[in-house]
Amino acid sequence: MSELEPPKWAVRFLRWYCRDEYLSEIEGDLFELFHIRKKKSIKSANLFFVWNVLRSFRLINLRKTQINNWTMNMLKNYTKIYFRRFRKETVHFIVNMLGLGMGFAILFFILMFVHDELNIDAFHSKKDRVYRVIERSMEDDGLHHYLSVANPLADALKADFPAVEETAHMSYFGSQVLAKGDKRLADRDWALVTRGIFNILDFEFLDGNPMKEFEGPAGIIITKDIAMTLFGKEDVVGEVIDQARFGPAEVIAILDEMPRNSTYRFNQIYVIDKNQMSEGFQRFFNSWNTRFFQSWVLLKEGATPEDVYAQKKAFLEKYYDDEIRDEHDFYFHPLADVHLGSTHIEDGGPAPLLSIPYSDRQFVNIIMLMGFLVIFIAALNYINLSSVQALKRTLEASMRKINGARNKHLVGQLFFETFLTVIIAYAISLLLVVVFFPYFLEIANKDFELSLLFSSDFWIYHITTILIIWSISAFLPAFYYSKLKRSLLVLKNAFTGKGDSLRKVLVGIQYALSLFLIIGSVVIYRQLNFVQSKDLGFDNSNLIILDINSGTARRSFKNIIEGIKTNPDVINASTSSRVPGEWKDLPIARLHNVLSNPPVEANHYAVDKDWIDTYQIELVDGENFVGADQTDSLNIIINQKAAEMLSLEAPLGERIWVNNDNDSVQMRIIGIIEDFHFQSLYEPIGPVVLTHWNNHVRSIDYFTIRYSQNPKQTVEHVEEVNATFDPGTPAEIHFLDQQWERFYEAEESRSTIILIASIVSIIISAFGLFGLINFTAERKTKEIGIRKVMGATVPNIINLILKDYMILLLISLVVAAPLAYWLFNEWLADFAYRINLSIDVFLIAFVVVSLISFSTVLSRILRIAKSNPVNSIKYE
Amino acid sequence: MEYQLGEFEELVLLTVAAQHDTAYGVSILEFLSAETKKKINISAIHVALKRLQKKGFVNSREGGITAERGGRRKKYYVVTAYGKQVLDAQNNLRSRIYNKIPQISFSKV
Repeated sequence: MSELEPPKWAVRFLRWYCRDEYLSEIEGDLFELFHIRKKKSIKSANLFFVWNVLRSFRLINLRKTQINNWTMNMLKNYTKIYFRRFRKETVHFIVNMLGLGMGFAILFFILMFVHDELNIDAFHSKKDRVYRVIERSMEDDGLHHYLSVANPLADALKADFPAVEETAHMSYFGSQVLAKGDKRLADRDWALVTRGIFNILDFEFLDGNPMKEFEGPAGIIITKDIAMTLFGKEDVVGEVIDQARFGPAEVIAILDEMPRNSTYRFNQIYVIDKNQMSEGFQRFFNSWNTRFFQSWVLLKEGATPEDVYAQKKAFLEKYYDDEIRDEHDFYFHPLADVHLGSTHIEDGGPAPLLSIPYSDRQFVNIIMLMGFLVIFIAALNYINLSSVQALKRTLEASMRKINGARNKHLVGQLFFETFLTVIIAYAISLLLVVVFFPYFLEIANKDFELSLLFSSDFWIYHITTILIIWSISAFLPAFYYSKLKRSLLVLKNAFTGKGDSLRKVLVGIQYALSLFLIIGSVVIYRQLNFVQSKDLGFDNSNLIILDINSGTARRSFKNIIEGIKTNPDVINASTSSRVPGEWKDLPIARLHNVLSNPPVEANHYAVDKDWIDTYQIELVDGENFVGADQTDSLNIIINQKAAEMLSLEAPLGERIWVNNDNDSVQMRIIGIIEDFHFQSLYEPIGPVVLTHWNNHVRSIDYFTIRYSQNPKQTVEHVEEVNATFDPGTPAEIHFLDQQWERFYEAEESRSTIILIASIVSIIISAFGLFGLINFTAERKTKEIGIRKVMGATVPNIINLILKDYMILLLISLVVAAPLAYWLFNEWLADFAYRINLSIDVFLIAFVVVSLISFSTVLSRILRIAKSNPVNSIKYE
Repeated sequence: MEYQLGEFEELVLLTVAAQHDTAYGVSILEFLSAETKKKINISAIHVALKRLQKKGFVNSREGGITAERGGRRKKYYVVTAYGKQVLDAQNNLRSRIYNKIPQISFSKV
């Protein structure tokens, strides 16, 4: 016999699956065939053997599963009993499963949300070494963190610090208009950068080279959509766009669509080369006291920001004069913190638009907590209901004991049953997640695929949640079930009140959580409503904003306004340098009574005579600009806040110093306007100064049009007028109220998530309560009957049962209310304008919970209380 | 006489009958592969044999141990009387119908 044998594993596999009675024949034949084949080639014989083993893997040859296995039998019995009880106690099971299912679903939604939040910008390959430079500026009104930093900082950092590998500038100019031939397009999602950025952040290019040299001050990178719009083709690298911010620009690369989880999603990247720019711009670029650029930094492998901080003092002393040095202290802010850790940072200069608004870690933590709370409430339900169910199962437990089951077997049974419930609930939750996923995306303002839930990152969450919920849910009921008094043994329906106190504690916890969540929901809802309905100081509806994107439009603004006003739907039209709810930066003017006094920093708007009327801002005192360019140019109008801060007793007619960028002019106050909000209501109202449009520092940038009706036709009319006077620039039009909504979008979506999670958790609690009361009612049927026979009235009986729940509810209120008060006061503190936490919030919560629980109790008890006691005493 | 016999089963049954008392898995496989010029897998033969045995057309007995069978016994198959009847009936049926074919020349396809 030869030593060459077929592959061992295949033989083992065959022996594993094959029935004993067939094994000898099949194995023998396969071996024989192997030896015949072997004479030709070992390799093919081996293959042939494996093939035959696989082909013999047929149902008819398979070993029967060993059903006489102990554990299998037990599990089979447990499953059978489980589903029998399912039929008998359908309400109980449905309540458990739906509760847990909804809890899981909410948790999964929240996990997906959080996962996405934590992974924003995570696609950059050098993300651990990438930082934005933030300036920490000590000013008269306190500490500011600015994202825009001194213009030459980026270059100096790279030159002076060995730890710094690369730096780059990033800035923004508002809408950028591109033109090629007669094709035009205006776009806001872009950035002005220097080349270094391509070594720091990851951008994908379809074509071209972003580092390529170009003629003139700037080259441009565009998406293929823009290429299609301008050129009618995608293959445009090397071609020239006729008009961009600094004149013609060569297309140096084609940008691929940026990932959805990127803070910035540019359609254009405008690459400037400092050395090829005008002399004036180069001077601007080298000005250490101007903040126009964000600076991005890539540290060398192994370097930390501390390496730079160690030599920072010398660096600051080298570049800044003593008096401004405190305003330019800087630190590095890691890329990983951009999305969740930027709320303390002000733009401080022009900044590209964010595709995803900043959020914060605190919210991510709150929402995580919320998710765990909801699933915990669902688990509480399960614990409550199953431990009372365990009481009902004395007989079953006793029978099992008599037949030889030990405590550990009873515990095992409950763990197994809980496992089945949890798995079914999990299936329900997956179904819910799939069904509600589109709504979730909309509410959460997110954009990712459902496949995230089933990605390899996520399986660990699925498994951990199932395991955790399984073990905490199973533990207590199993304990009760197995420890049932054996002395009562087979006494049918023996009922002990054991576990009552624990159950009361659990119900109390659930009440407290529900109260807490309802209080939270009411507070959040009211605050948001308050913010959105608060009087802004002007009417932001029916206002159309037209951007001024060219010198042509700026020069002929009077004609444009006249042209716009010819439409009967237009009530008023005006021009200004900025508009309330501004999306670019808000320039500051410093106001002094006396030049030596510290200034009041006021937001500066340059406006024409119709501006106040267009916005319907009230002129409290004095008069408006008259429209005479000569006289108006030295007059100003301030708001009440500014008047107050300047501590002028009779402000009208006073001359004050207005300082803009180191240029002071004495101007006369001719009017006082009511305070109005120019930023979101998170910010308090600040001082404002209005100058006439022909002041020498701020040029006009917007038209504002108030219309009475027909917004669509009005917009068309505005576009026509724009095309008549400024044919070179496409009209860029916004509705102001939509711009205002941006301020609240993020907060609104977060609050809605919390609100929905609260509502679901309240529903789950109600489910649980319903199940519990159902059980109590069943238990007390006989007692009620006996009491009735003894002469109790219906109110007596209801009182008897409600009393327990009432006491629990009151105790929970005492626990939950102060906690909620403290927590939500903290939350509200972030708003400049906020509601007060009044007592009625707590009352509402209390009433809602009472109503839900009492209506549940009553619906069940009333029927029994009213029924004929004979029937209920007979009830078994 | 009622019986169920698939085409492949019939071939296997015929082979078992032809190789009287010396038919086992591999021999049937080799015989059939040679006769039909088709590739047949041994597992198909095993399944057919099991079915035939279940229907009572064949009996089996254990044979001796040989080295090239990895120490496993051969399982020899013999046709039963009932199996033989089935083969006869099948054969009769075939020839009866065959004989009804008219003696003409058939058109080429």
